[in-house]
Amino acid sequence: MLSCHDVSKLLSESADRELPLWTRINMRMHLILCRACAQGEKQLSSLRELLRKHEKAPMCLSEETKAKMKKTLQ
Amino acid sequence: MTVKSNPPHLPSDPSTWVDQYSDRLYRYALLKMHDPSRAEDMVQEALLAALNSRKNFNGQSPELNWMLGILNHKIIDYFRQAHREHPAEDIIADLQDDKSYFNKKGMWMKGPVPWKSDPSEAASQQEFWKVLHECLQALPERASQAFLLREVDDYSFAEICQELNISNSNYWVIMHRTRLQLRQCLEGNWFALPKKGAN
Repeated sequence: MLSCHDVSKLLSESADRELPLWTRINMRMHLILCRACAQGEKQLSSLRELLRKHEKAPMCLSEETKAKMKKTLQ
Repeated sequence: MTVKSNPPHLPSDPSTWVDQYSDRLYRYALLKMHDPSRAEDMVQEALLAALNSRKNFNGQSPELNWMLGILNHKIIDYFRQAHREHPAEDIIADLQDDKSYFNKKGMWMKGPVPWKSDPSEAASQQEFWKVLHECLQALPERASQAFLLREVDDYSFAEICQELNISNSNYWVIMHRTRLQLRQCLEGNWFALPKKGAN
């Protein structure tokens, strides 16, 4: 039986490469039974989606900085 | 009136680049560098590099992606220079040990709790990005860099190991600890707090 620590490692690894089928089945069984780990999985994927939306962040360069950049590009 | 447009394989007029692209490039640089003035410098450098190499632009991808690629390489070079004498073991030692989140049986000491605010709403909130930058800044620089190359730029783990000169076995430890630490930091400083100023 996998522990939460094992599952945490595997969840991280599964975001970066495919795990063997049997490992995935074991991990899924744990995730069905363990609410904390299931939350953790959901949150990591929300975080990924969020990071990919960084172009929607409301931060902008100041007009002053932009003017300086325009000058150097001339 | 006829609008003169460039053939698709030529870059647009560089005098329009700042207005067209600089904010978009800045958001990307800020995510990676966490520091506004360093991020501005990177954008400036990337725009200049784009200007000097615009003959190489082949129009196979949109101009913005071409510039983001140049910016990404500038940022990778920056960190590579900054850390060329630091072994990857330092990254692991500077991250919170993954064992510390679990008890002896491997169960959570304080596991993930349901989040009170919707992650999809956070993207448009400046306050959220400030918290995220602080959480990323609390990580070793190369750990946050590896994490962002994976999650934002979709680099494969093999590419990241090569770019950052870390071994495969170090990679898995770094990523696991980084995800644990970042998740906990965001939960404690944003998502588990009472819902933030609902616009």
